[in-house]
Amino acid sequence: MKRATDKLIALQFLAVVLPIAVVLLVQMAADARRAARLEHSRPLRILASEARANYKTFTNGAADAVDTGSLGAQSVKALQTAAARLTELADHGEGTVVGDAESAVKDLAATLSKGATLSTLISLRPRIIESDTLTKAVDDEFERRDEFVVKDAISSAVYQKRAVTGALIITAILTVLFVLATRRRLKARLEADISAERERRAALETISVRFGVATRAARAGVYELTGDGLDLWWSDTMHELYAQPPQDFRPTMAAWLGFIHPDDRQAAQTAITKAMREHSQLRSQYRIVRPDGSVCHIASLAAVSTDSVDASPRLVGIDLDITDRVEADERERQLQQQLHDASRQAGMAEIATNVLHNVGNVLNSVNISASIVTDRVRKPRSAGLGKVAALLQEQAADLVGFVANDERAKHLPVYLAQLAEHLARDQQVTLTELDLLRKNIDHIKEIVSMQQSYSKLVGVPERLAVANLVDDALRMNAGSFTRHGVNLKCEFEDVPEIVVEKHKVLQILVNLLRNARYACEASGKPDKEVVMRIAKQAAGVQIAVIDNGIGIHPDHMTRIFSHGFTTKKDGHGFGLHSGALAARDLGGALRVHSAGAGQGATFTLDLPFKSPEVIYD
Amino acid sequence: MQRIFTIWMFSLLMAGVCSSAMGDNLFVVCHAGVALAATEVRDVFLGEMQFLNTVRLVPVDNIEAEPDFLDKVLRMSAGRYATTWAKKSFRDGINPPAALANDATVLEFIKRTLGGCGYLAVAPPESVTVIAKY
Repeated sequence: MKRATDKLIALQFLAVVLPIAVVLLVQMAADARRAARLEHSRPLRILASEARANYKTFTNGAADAVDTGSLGAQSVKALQTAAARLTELADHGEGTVVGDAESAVKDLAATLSKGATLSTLISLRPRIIESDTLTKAVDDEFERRDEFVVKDAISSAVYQKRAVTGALIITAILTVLFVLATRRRLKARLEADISAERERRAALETISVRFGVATRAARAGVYELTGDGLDLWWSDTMHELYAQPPQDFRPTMAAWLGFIHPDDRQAAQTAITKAMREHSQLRSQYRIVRPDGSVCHIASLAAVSTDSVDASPRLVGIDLDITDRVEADERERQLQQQLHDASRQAGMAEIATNVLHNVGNVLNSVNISASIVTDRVRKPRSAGLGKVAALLQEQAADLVGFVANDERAKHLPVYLAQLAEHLARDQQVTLTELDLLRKNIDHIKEIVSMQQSYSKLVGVPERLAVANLVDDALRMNAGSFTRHGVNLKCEFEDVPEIVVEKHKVLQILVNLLRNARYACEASGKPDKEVVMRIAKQAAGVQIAVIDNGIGIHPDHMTRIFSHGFTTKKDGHGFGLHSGALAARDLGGALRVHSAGAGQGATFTLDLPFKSPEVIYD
Repeated sequence: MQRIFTIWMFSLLMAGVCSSAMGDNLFVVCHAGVALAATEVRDVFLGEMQFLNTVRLVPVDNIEAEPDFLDKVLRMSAGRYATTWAKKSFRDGINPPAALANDATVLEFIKRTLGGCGYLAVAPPESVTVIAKY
């Protein structure tokens, strides 16, 4: 704007100066020319005028001679002077103009050099009149030429005057035009600027309104603190946030700090001081205590600005009321804790169920073995042996006679042989059952031991063979699969070992297998089958659990991993949800595909070769 | 030149002598179209008035009628008339009116000369303008 104005002013100046300068230069040249011509013309005119005047003096003397009778000496001298002036004119190169006048006057002067009587003059009158005419012509010529020069000078001066006037008029017109143009341009620019300013103001007003609405809606207050900390400005929303009416409270740094909870005050002040000193961003969180005693959680975000006129740093920021968020975070934390506990309990219950189930299966065998042994023990073969011993004690006095003569003694060898045979058979059965009982107890011990090993490895990634991991999961569910007649099929590719938290993968797989078994059982199909597949992927391993069970309705696909969603009568809607979360924690993903109800389902667990944030190598 | 002046002076004297013997009428006439006033006749014949508008006036003397003209119109003597013209010719460089012999010569001159002025002792024809009658 200023540059354009300066340019217009410069153009206007040129428009004013240029015409006048041109006119003045031209007139200076014309003046010089006129001065030269006047300098040449004026002496010649004076000479001619003097010649004429002297000749007239002579003719007047001649006229006086009519009364006096003779020509006076003064008249003669004047005639000679006239002749001399004419000669001078001729000597100045004006011979053409002087012409015959010089010779006529010179001749006359020579004739009358010594005076003359009236009669002489009368006789010379034609020559006198002729010379008078000639001198007059010479005088007139030089007067005409001089007047021409003078007139030319005058006309030139007039022309100069007109030129200057014209230049002034042109200048005035140009000035007016430039002023009008400038005014129009400036007016247009001014109007444009005003329009732009209005738009900016409107935009600022809109922004201000939006900002006010937004800050009020966000319960955010804006503040500005000068470098020395003496000047503090609060927005209206800031006053509302601190429950300090603007008309009653003038914010100061000390008062501000006074509102902050004593436990947070020092940290808040330190954060502000640090931001001001280091010109860094301020991010602090503290509590304030309102006049009514309520505590409000504040998140303060600020930055130091130095774009003010005096370049002094200012801390400009906002205070956000995050009480709801903090309370929500606390509630969420509590919920998470509850969820974690529930998950833990569910996991424990799951594991306990598995353990109890497997142990229960073994305990059945243990129970059977114990019953058999008990039965064997309850039906002792030793009762008949006692009768034999009592009979022999009764016949101890004549044991030989008894063996030889008594009929009962004859059956004793057969009886003892049969008894020995039965005792040996019972011992064999008992030993067999006791051995089975020991094996079952070892199995229980192994199950418990495996569970204990899982418990010890919680949260610790380890390098594992995927097939072994899947085998463990299958083993934990093997009993239920067999019991419910579900055929299990394994399709394992050779895949590299992976580094994962074992218990999380087992948790996922046990859940998937249980769900698959349930889906198969619920379908009522005779050929229940679950396929366990391990495949290598570009960045990891994929474990798929494929069943031909009841499938998943399309409407349930989007909610299948949601917490609390279940289609089982006694389900909790936690297994798949926790499985998906666990898969994500492992850096993998749990996905599902089903062609629809009755079409079976495929759950795939993608696991990276190495879980994120795993330091273990 | 001197002889011409002498003749002119003589003619003036003769005109003065004869004027009384001439008729009573004197007509001052000019070329047709020259509207000269009677009061201007004296100035014209004494060299004081040489132009009427743009027309150069050419006065001529009528030797036969000059005495009567000097007496009635200029009211001066012939000598005075000659002296005046002598001074006038020296001072202003102009010649005195030419002296023509009689009315006929004057009339003829006036008819053919634009601006011609003269005086006649006889009544002039209509081809010339009569300025005054004395």
